[in-house]
Amino acid sequence: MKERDAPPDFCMQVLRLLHEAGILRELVVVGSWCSHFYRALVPGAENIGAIRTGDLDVLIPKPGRVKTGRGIPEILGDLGFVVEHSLGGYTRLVHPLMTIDFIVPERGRGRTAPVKVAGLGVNASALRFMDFLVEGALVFETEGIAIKMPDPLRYGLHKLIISERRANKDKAEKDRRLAVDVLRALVDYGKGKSIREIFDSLPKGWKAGIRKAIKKAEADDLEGLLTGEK
Amino acid sequence: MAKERPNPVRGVLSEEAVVVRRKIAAYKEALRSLSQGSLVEKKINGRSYFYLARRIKGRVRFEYKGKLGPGELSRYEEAKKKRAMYRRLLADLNAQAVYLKRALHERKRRAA
Repeated sequence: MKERDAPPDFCMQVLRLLHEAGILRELVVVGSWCSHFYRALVPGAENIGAIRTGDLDVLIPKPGRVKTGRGIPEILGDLGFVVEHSLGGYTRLVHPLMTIDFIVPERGRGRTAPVKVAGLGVNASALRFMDFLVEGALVFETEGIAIKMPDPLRYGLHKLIISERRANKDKAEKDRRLAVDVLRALVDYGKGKSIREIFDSLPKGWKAGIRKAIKKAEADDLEGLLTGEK
Repeated sequence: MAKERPNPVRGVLSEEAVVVRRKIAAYKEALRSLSQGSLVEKKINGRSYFYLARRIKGRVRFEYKGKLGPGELSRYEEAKKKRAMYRRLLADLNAQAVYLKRALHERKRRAA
């Protein structure tokens, strides 16, 4: 994919350090920062994700496979990141401009304890739906760095699924708005059929969650697309 | 009375206010974990001896450290650099906390 605009400097500094340490290829950027990169990838998506926090959520798809000399906290310590403690053993790196959380896909019956990723020196939290999110992940190349991130089609649908599981209403609303903006931009870009195909392949419960979220977002156009009326 | 819709802007601001408070605590903890004081070099008969200058209860105290190897010297130097960086970042966070407090309070005042 070709770049059309550069992401904010600080995020790029963080990604560059991880790239130089040879770690970035093992990671997938999955949080609201994706919307920033999608603006450059999807024509007509220039305004999506205007409201977001400074969180950078990093997924480690294969935590057992990663091996590195220095841990991420040490590498990013050069930029002034510190480890936030008292989180039940999870590693969170903080900086005035950014917070970095580490995620691994939850498999099997699920767990609440942190997952130790020894190769990166972090303890990650295991979350559901991550395998769906990162299937067919894209590689966005900018400033000589290859950044992996989810396919925006899956990102939009995933946001709708998790919005239904949020306890915080404001966060759920933010997820829905972002999802609708991303999916609408993709429909305008001619990806409506692909959205429908992925939607049709989902389990029944997930589909119900997506329909419910779309209804709440009052996105009749997307509802029509997913029910085959468009 | 009309039902209040969820507001993502308010949500983001409130979330950020909580995050900033946690970050301030993290930086204070990081500062506490660094070794305190600055090294002062004194030359006696052409040899270097070091003292650690620290402020204790408002008064500067010098703790004799003697001769230090390059490893120890760079450790103190590193801690000094980090302390300066963390203090600067902590000041940024305190400014963010003030801004967010005002922004959220302003909303409440207008809503009242």
